[in-house]
Amino acid sequence: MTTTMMMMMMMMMITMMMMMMGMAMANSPNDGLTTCLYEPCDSQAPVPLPPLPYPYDSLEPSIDNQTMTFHHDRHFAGYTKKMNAALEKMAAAMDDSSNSTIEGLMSSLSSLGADPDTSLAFQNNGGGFLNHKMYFATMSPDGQRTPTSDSALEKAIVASFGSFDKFKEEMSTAAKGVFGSGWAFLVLNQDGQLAVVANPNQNSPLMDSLIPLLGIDVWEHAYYLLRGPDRGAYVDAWWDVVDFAPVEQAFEKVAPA
Amino acid sequence: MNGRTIQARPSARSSRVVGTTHANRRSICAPFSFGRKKTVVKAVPLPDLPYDYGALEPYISGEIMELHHNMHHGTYVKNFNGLLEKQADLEKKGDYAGLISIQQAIKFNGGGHVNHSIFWPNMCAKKDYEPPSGDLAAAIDKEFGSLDGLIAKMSGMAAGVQGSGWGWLAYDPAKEKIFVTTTSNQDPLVTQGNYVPLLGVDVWEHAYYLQYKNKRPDYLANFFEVVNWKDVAERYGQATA
Repeated sequence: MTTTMMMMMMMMMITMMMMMMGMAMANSPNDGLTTCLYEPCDSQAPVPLPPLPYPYDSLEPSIDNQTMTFHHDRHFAGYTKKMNAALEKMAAAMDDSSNSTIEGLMSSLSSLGADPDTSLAFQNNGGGFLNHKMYFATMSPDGQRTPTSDSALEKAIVASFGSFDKFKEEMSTAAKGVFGSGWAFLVLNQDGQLAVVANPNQNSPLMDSLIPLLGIDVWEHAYYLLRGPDRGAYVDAWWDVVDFAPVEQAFEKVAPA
Repeated sequence: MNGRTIQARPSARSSRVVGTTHANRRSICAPFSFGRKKTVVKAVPLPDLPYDYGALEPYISGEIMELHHNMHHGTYVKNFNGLLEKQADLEKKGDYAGLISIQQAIKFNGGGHVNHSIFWPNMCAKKDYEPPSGDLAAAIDKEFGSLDGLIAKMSGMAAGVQGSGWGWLAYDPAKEKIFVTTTSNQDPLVTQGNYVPLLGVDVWEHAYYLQYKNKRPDYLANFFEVVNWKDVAERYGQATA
């Protein structure tokens, strides 16, 4: 065999190896950025507004009936409706049979090629939809207030924060420190670590390749009717209605192997 | 119900600073410092409302006005004063990294103070309401066709603010024109350019939620019923002088 032929064969082998590696990476447990963690998981408009899974007054005295009613029936509903309108525009513009989840659209928003107005409408309203479906799904009148002992989630929290209490402290501080409207999130990053991030408005962590598992809404509409400006008291009270059971289930879907 | 504003001006020797204001029977005391080593900072007072808390009823509730002025603006002033002291201290120590690290908080809280200080006099009781006249009216008609045109445009933009922020009627000295814009959070108008704020409308949820819930457009419609166009005209007059 000539040197040239040997080199060509080596090149081919290297190329094939790289392709195989690439394929292996694409087929590896997915990066979680397209995984729907909380219902509904419809990908086509019109995505339905999920009903509140517990009575509106059942989170009292932590969160009042009136707030739950307005928050779910007006704010969450409004985001869902406007997201659906944006989705229709995006479907028309994109050459699409992608059947991407809403989560997948959000994590790839910058590369979808939607026009700026529609893109922003989806960022705000799709973000509002994603954030609120997680918010209402991870609260419950009789939920699990801390992760199950020895669960994958609990171990990950301890690994990333040192202890559950330190995680709680960090998430509370982040929530209380948001200026203006926004959220504090528990997220899983692409290094397989848990972290707390705070985002403005309805910006989803998915836009930064972070998988949101749990969130505290600190827009004023989340607490003002009952507590006026006292966001701190609302954040503290939220821990009395959080439900880690669905968070554990969500984590299992995206946790590193 | 006007309070007196008391400010002690520091003499050349004394660096003791005390600032207090009485606003509707509540007082905000700025921290005072004495001794030559501490830097002198003039405390910013919480300005009084030009009217009683209930004066804008039924358009904006007394409950909102009291919380908004006393708690929200009051907290911005308190935090801003603390930050101004800290800033002076850091500057004096030459800790410029520290100085820069608090600028965001200064923008939040100082901006909150600046914006709300414009907002309160921008409004008046309905019985004192007069539509715009003179030069301001002419400018409005020129740019927006009519007062209704301005209201429609400004309401639309303010309603569209994502999250927290403000709607503004502003003057651009370079173009010698009035225009409508929005800012987010407590960013003062100046962060957008060398513009003069004439009329601001707060669209943070705390400005309307207790009364209007999520119906921000309803709040905006009612806001325009109590705009103090004389105040707006004064600002316009000063800007165009």
